[in-house]
Amino acid sequence: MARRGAGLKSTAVLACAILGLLSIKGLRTPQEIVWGLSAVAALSFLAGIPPLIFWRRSLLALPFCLVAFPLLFTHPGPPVAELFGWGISAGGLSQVAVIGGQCLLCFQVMQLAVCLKGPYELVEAVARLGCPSRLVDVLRLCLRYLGLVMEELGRLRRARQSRARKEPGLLFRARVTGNLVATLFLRSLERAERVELAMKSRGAQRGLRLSSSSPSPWGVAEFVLLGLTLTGLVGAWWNDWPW
Amino acid sequence: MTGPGSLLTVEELSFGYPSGEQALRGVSFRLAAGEKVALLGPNGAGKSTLLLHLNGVEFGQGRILVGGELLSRDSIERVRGQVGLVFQNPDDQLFCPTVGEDVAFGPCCMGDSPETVEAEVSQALRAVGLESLRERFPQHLSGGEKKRAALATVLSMRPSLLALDEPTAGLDARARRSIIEVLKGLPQAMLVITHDLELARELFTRALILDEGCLVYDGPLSAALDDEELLRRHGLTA
Repeated sequence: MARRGAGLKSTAVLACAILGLLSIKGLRTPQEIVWGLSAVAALSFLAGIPPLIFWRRSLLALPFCLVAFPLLFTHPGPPVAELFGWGISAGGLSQVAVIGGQCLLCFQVMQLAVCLKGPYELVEAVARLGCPSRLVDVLRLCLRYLGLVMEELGRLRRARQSRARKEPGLLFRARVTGNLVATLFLRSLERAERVELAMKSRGAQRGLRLSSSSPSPWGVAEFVLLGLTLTGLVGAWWNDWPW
Repeated sequence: MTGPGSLLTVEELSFGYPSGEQALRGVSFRLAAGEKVALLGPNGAGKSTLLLHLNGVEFGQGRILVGGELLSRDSIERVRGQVGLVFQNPDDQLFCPTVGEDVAFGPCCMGDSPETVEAEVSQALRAVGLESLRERFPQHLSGGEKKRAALATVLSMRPSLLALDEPTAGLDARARRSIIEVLKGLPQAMLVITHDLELARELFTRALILDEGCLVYDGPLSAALDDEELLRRHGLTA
């Protein structure tokens, strides 16, 4: 019963996160983005997540935010400022702020969900929401081996640092990082082969079946959650949010 | 060559990798039910490749009989239930989110009922002393616990033969001792790859020595360990 309750909480958190992610698409002005960021920051504070860690992890959204950067110059409109000799329009500035803010908010919402329930519980919740079992198994495997891959990366980096007499230049570091990633990729492939052998040796012939128990059948609570999610989606559609 | 009471019979087993490297060359030996045998040899001798064949993960030329049944693609499901293969790196063996799910993986693949799976998981975890860690994530286990959990993942399939690849490699003295005690208490026949000659001396009476894919010794372990020339020739001592 307690396990079912915990599963329900994870499902609720995931459903809320999905609704949150969908809602982000409805934020269309920098002011609305600021409101959204404030709301997520308040929630993370209430959840007891240290702000420094929360914002540092949010930096993962940076590469995605940068994708919007060219809009600064390409968005039509009278220039209000100049960068590298190119005009920046007010509309472009606003667009970049909105898209960057949306990316940041997406990362923060998922980070909040992971901090609240933990990645494994969220994957179980994904299974409960009816995601194909093959995909759920792939997610489980990714989670299982992510830590090991990161440890491997740390070891490779330390081995590299221990042989560097002085801090090398950016280009050299980029090349070394590329080599590290390639090595890591090859090692991960080798590990994948060994894991496959381990699965085969224990009788797995019809594909992956990582979970010994199938998700429990839906009860009233799950249907209420589904109803709420659908209501949210219909509400979003009614308000003409762009998907 | 298949004698009465013989649990495992390997006849003229040869195997080459697609790269052209010949890993096994006409290996033949037998193992009786309950017999515990050390598989020794230098790195690259073909020991791990041999273990992969016992479970039908690899197929080479020659014949392998497990419990009198010829190992083939048709009999593979039955044979895999009889031969428990434990890999050297427990992180390769423990791929499920929790220890309990990993131990249940084999019985589930064999199509056992949920009640049977539950009983098998409990029994296997009890045998290796990890009942309390059933819900634990594998990445949160110590090295010794991971090795014991990896052993439990095959014990739950109730095998009659355990094929273990370096069960004590990389363990501290205490973890190594706990693994040895667990192995001592198991009734199954064992074929154990090891470079740990002290472990071999404590657990086994018979040794097979493999070098460059050939079986170069099959006899009493004590005689092999006392033969300095044999050990040196096959890279078992410096």
